Amino acid sequence: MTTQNASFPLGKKASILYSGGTDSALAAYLVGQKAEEITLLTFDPGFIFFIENSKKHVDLLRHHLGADRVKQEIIPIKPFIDRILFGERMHDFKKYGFNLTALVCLGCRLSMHTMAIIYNLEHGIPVIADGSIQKQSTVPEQLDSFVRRNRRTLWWKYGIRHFSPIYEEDNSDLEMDKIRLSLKPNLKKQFILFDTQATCPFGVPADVYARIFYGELSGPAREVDTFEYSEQKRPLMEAIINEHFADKTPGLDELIDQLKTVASPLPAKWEDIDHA
Amino acid sequence: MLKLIGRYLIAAIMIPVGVVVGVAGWIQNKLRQDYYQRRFKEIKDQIKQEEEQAKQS
Repeated sequence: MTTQNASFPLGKKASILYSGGTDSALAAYLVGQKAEEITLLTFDPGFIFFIENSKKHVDLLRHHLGADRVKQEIIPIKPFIDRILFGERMHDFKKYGFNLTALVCLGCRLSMHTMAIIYNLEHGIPVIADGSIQKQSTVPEQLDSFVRRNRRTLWWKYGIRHFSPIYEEDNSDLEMDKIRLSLKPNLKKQFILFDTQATCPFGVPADVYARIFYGELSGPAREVDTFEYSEQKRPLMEAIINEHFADKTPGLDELIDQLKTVASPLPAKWEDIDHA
Repeated sequence: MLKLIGRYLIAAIMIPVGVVVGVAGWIQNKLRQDYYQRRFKEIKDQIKQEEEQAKQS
């Protein structure tokens, strides 16, 4: 049951899974038009280079939305990566074989989601958004089936409403140019080596693998692996979150209830939310 | 400049890695084709059921 044209929830805060690239910057801009305060969550898994690149679009976002309304947090997630991505590596290699090349990004993304859930719960932020786009559904973490199921079975379980405000967007570069948010034209055409986000050595072969070999050429392998990998990692993610809140007051259940109370009237689609 | 060289060095090494592993993965997935077809159908049914349950609640 959804409520049309609901206002942004109490607190009016939202967080964004933010790499610094055109998609997440455009998503942040759109969310920033409706939320009073946005927090850009940039995660450092411990094996990427040039993470400071992610700061380049932040100044422009602050210029457009107001300096006091945009905050960026660069958060290390190496301990989560060690457990979620690398903790079962022998088992994972036996089960997924070479497909693990692309699933590395999904493991990394699930580690980010775990940290983002903790952050949102601790800071009372009922809304999270990301720059996922259908056009990039070649990569497991942006598959439509994964994004939709995760929204229902993970984010909402912790009282957080998840949106992908540019999921249908075909050309975020052009949109960024139109609103003068782009540092330079055609940023997306840089392919793997972006000026405004970190470079991930695992991300390069993962992208090649996913774009060329892991789609139609391999039949339903990507859909099946994505489902099974995320199901397999779910208990680990839940354990990390439970451990984090184990001795804290208010407890996890109370925090979830608080977020659910403010987030439940929100409509399912980002476009249906009123401006702040 | 150093940054640019570093980035292109990573690409020069890792893109061929992606291609080689990709070919190996493609062969592996061909060999597991029956398994993937069967699981795909099961997963689709499961998701459909979950979505119906979610609608009802």
